[in-house]
Amino acid sequence: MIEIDFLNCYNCRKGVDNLINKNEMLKLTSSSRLEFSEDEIPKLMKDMESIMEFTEKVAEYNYSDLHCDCPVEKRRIDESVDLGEFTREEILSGAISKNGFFFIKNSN
Amino acid sequence: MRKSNSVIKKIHNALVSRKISCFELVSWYLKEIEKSDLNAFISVTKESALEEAKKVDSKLERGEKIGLLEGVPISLKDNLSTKGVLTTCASKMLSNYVPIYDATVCEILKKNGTILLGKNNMDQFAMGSSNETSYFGPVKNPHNKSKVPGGSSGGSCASVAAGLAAFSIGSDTGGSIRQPASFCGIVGLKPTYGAISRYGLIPLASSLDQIGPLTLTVEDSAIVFDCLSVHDPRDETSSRIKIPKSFEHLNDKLPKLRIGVPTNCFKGSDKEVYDSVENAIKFYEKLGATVTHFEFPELDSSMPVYCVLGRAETASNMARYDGIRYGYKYTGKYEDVNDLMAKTRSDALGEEVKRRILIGSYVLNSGYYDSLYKKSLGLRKLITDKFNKQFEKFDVIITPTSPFTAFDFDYAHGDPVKMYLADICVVNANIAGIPAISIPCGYDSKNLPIGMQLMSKNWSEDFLLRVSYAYEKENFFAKIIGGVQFEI
Repeated sequence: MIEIDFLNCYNCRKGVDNLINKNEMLKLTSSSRLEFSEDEIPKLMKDMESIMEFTEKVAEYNYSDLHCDCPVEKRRIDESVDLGEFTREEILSGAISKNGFFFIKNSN
Repeated sequence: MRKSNSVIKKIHNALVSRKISCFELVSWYLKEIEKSDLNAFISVTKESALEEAKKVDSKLERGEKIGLLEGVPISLKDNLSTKGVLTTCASKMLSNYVPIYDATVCEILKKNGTILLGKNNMDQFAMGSSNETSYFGPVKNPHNKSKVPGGSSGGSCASVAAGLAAFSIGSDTGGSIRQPASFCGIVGLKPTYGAISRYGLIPLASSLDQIGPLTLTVEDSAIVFDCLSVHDPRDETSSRIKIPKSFEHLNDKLPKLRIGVPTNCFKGSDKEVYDSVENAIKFYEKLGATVTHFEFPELDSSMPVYCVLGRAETASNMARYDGIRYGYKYTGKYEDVNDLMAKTRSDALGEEVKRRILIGSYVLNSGYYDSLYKKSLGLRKLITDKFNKQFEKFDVIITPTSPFTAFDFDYAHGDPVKMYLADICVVNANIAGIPAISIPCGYDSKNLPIGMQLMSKNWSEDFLLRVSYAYEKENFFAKIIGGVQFEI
């Protein structure tokens, strides 16, 4: 059985552009199928801001040798192929690629 | 020959020589679990444990031989599916969930005759580093009950350190075996990704999760690892290569070791932790190892990368908990199925779980996918490549397991980032998929255990355990606090 749960993530995320106000926060919570009371929102926004400030360090990294030559990823981006249209073999071949897209199989 | 400290071997010898019956041994463990105030267990399988013990005794009475693990009382982290036994992930969401199948590791341990005492408390859905996010209350550290045991396998580690189980099985996504092992003064091994089947492990982040043993000694870690590291066709990520056995090679002569010590991993460490780990490294120097301190700048990005990738996969994995097919279902009024799902999830999932779902959703949304998630995938590849390059120069890389010893409850005072940084030394191995082990290397001035982390290249657990055992033979720091005692 192929584990596709974490592959499906691309297809189900919609909406929120950035977390700068309560409305966007509420949209994000709604798309995640969660709801919060009015009282909970301020602490939640504060927590989210501090976590995102930390997590967004990733965006700052500028390694020149970052690349991805996974064939599945290439087709998905270059040809706008929806992930659901790949065959099992294609996904696995992409998954076992040593080159970055999904680090599932170790080279051995 | 040096005396062995292996708890598994001591139990085996005691059973075979009939010094104690299995029924008496299991009863002893169960009594200690009942007396304990550590809150290390969510459920205790008393009747089935005693039934299994009787079967082992009958076998011995008939003069039959028993295997090394047969009759050994164990516990399991409560995110491992156990057929017919409550499996909660320490969450209200699964507080009534009884799996209809065993995880592969549970099947293997059953087949080898281990006796399940119960399921251990943990951070909710394995999200946490202190075992404070559990729906069933926090776990206490056996060394000092005002301190946390670490997490997320806190209950498993506490139960081994407190003599409430001979060994336990935990899971490690971003240090959840090694960090609590360090806090509780025991041995915790995270194998190479793919070495042990994840079938039946309730997933947190599928490309980072790995199951591993929590034991008092390196010998016991090797015994359990050898037993569990087999190919499983039910897990697509389970390795097909034959993994070298570790236990029979523990005493093999070591080559002249080349040890790498990344200095940036020591930044922010307590002085006592720093001194303890440096002293441990000097031990290897006395054995003839060459030690090189070096800068490993790519490791500074590990934590943010882990946050992005881990949360993204977590958000996806947590989508299945909707109150429709299994688990908790909201019992109040709701408008439609979407409202039911939102109310169920909001009511039954803890704060940290919800935060991680939101972060995961955020980093995957169309505006941020490229700059955060895709970038993190590439960075993971970079970190992995850099580790592989370092392992051309070094046999083992050594760091502290945690920059500090066990902290007080509510250490982070509600600051999630402060808690995440407790794992700064351990997430690297998950990102790169390499094996890593935490072994005790001393105590601080408050008598809290200090752990040293050793990492090696993929599929070299036999070597990693051998190097760890070489240290443990001459520097044995683990101890059982209370519970079922063995002469150590």
